[in-house]
Amino acid sequence: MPIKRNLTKITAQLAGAVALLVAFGIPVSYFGLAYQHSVSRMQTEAEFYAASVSRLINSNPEWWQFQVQRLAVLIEGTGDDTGLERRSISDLSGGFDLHSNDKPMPGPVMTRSAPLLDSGYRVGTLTASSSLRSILNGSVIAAIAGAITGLMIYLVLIIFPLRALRLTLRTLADEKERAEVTLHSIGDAVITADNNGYVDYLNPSAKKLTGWSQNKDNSLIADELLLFCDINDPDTRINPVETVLSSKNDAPSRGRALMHAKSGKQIAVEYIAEPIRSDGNEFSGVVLTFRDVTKTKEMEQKLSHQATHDELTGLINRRAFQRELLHAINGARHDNQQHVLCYIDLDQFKVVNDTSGHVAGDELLRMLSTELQNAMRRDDTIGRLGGDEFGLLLKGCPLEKGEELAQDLLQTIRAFRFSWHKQVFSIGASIGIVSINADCSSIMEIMSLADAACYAAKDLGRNRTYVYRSDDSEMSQRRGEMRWVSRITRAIDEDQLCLHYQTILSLNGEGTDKNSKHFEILVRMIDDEGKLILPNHFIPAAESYGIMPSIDRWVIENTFALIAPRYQHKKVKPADTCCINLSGTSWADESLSGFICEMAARYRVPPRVICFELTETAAINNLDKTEKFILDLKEIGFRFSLDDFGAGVNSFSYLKRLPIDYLKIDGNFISNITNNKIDYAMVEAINHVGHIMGIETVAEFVENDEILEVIHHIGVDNAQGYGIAKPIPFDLATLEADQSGAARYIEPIILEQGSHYSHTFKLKSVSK
Amino acid sequence: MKHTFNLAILLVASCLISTLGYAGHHSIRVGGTGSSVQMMMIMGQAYQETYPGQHVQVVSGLGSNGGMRALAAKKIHISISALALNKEALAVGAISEEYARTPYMLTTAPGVNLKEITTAEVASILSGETERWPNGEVMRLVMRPLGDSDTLFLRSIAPAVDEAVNIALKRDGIIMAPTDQDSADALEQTPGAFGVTTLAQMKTEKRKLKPVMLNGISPSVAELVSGRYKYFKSLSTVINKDASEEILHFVDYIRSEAGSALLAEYGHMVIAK
Repeated sequence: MPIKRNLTKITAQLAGAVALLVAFGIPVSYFGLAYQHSVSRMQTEAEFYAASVSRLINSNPEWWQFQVQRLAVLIEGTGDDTGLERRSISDLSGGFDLHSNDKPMPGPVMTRSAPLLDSGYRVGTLTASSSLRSILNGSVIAAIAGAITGLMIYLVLIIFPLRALRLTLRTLADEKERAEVTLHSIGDAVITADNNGYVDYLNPSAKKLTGWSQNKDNSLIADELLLFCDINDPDTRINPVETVLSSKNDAPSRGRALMHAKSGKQIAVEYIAEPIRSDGNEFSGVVLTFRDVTKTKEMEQKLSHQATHDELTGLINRRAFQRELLHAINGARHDNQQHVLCYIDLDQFKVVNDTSGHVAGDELLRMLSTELQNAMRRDDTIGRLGGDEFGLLLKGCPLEKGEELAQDLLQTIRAFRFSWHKQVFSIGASIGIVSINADCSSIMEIMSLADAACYAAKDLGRNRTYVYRSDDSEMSQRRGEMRWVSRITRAIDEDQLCLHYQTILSLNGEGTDKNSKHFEILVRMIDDEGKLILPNHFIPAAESYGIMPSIDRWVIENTFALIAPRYQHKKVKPADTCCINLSGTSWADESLSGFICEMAARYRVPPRVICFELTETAAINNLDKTEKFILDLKEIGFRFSLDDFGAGVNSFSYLKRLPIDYLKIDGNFISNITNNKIDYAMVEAINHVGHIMGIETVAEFVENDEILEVIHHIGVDNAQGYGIAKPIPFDLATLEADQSGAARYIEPIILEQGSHYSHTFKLKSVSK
Repeated sequence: MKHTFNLAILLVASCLISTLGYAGHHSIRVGGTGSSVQMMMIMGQAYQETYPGQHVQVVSGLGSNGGMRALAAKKIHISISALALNKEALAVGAISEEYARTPYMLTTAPGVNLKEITTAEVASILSGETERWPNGEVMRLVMRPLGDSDTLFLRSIAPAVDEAVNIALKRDGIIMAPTDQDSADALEQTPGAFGVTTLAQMKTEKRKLKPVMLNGISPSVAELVSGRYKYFKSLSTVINKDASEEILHFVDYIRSEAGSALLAEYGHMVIAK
């Protein structure tokens, strides 16, 4: 710390000099001033008294020497008796000598004389004498005071400034130490340069990153050391230090650059150069901080890639594809370009997933993506839109050419073979094709059309292409369904669904009493004008677009909530059968069982009164799941009915696997039963089989008494249809007052000869 | 007025000296204490009238000390002194002989009209504790130099007065009279003045001053003789040891019957030889 030592020494020397100056200055000044004053005073006194005596001499030149009394008074002055001052008169002969006092005067003595004149002739001398003892005494006191003052000043100057200086130096040293430790420990490279651009400091990170070391004479110029280039244009040099030096304002220079290290290695760096200003706000140099952002840059690129690409296939993802699509739409609108969008949905991909697992499915998608990329043109864009759906944007391509290319792509997919654990899979695809031209409205519209075209391709037998045209009725219906999707979703959210019920009549009268109700819950939608929309308008769309699980759950919860009071606080619960339809997509969701149990517990609805209706076609599509679903809920007490039974070819073959309680005979057999022998036979067979298996049967579409009589004759256990009761809004009061489901007595009627019925019955209400 | 008076004395003395010198007769020069200057002039006049051809020259303004110095320097023949012999006189072997005493007297300016004073009042006036006369006039001290016989008189009145003198001498702005004549002039001319003179000076110079009784005793020759009044100025003749017959003759005349009568007439208590 040479600076500290020097400052301390200089401060001590300065304090000593000031103290000495004061210590000696005070007595010397005092003596000088007092002496000067005394000299002046003595001279004045001598001249004054000489003048007075001279006047006396002039008035009595003969006898003046003997007028001692007068002379004495004249030279006595104020009558000082201290003996420190004296006036003396002597004549020229030396024979006369008169003193104002005769006391011995302590030395040293200062004298001043003035002539005594007689009419201008000198006749004697007046001498004023003064002892300097008092001045010396005063000077000694002043010296003591000066010494004390000087000592105090020395102490004050040495203690306080030195203490402050030491404190400041210690603080500075601490701060410097901290700064150096910080600069040594931080990962960022830090370089400082003076205002001429000479580097005066590099921290270890800077040395490591640049490969340069600090010269002892600080002769390294920042321009030589920092070979920064534009990160996007390596031929353009950047010098942040020079930028700040030349601007000399407080605005930092920051950005990214490509740094050429001493070793020749190129490193991407992020830098910021800021001016260094001294206490007086003087510009004193530049500090440049930079760090290696190679990994960051790679990470950013990776993140950017991840944000725009599908991780599995490496294709661009849906968002990036839509961005490309947006550019294409804008190009079509503004530059009248023509492009084609293909919406590709793989067929039979689910088979691979179900039979070989998701790993195999993923591998298939990866390999197929490579095939597709190889098959398409260089300027075209393909992206994975989700699951097994892909989007292909054919740029600068008329529709006809797009159709050809889509066909080629379809051939490629068909020809693709995927081998997995000795199994070879082939897949197909349904491709919806839409032209992108100046008339296109929005990205959503185009995507929606392509999606709908893809569905149309599937509906037409899959493994084919379908081109959307504006006059396409098939597409209009599909798009109509798609419009329903948003309405249904809104209806669920805003409670615009409502429940109706339709009574089911027990025909055998067994196990029923007048308080028991057997009915089917039906759902309706209320439009914006309050009108009811029947389910045949919105259920197909809901099934197509996966909204049925939501509708089913809404129906379950609201039915339970409405019916629950019927079972509260009653010792004997009514033996009702409340039928609720469930879509196949609903019970495919394994969480539905839990939801039903939760709702039953919440509303305290006895499981036994609830009978879920499953459509035969949905049930057989996934027989295992259906069986498990039924078994799980039957264990708790819920009952099940198989709806639309008889529509499938192999209906009876799987019936024995499903532990159901009711068989609901397909209404198509019932509605023509009075005229069609086959239908009659089918109903009779189904009813017979059901009874053999211990399953009650229900006939739908019983629209008149004639049908009712026939099915009763066959032995069907229950009837449902407009002939029994029409659906009405469901509320508990209405249900409990409703007698439409009361047991009826049906009179047997004799059929005419030749009729295929052996009996006929007359129906009438049973009044008990 | 003071200067006029001094000048007059000097002129008279000069005339006498020149007249005596010119005539070639014996001329006796007398000087010394101021309070006896006028007395010596009267005495000299009477002597000259008694002994024609003898001339007495009185040199004024010398004072006792100056007179003895002039005597030692043989500038005068007889010095009238109120003090003991000084070093110059002793050096030449001068001979001193007391011939009369005159009472010191405290006096005021004519307008003050003070009859009597006590020692305590003197001390109070000198120290400045009392600043005004009963008639409201400001008291103005007329002091004499430190070693003067008048100052010594004041000091001798009482210790309190002695202390008061020291204070008075240090007071700024007091009147300091170098000679007896200066003092008498100041007392006469300064309103509210208070100081010291002698009965002889008052009488010989015909001053308008009036004596003030001290502690109820009048400063008169009678009281001095009676011993009730103790403050006086001793007057001595100082002559050189080799004084001439003429000088000794004049000294004898002073103490002669005629001289004694004159002394008594002008406030002196003659001391017999």
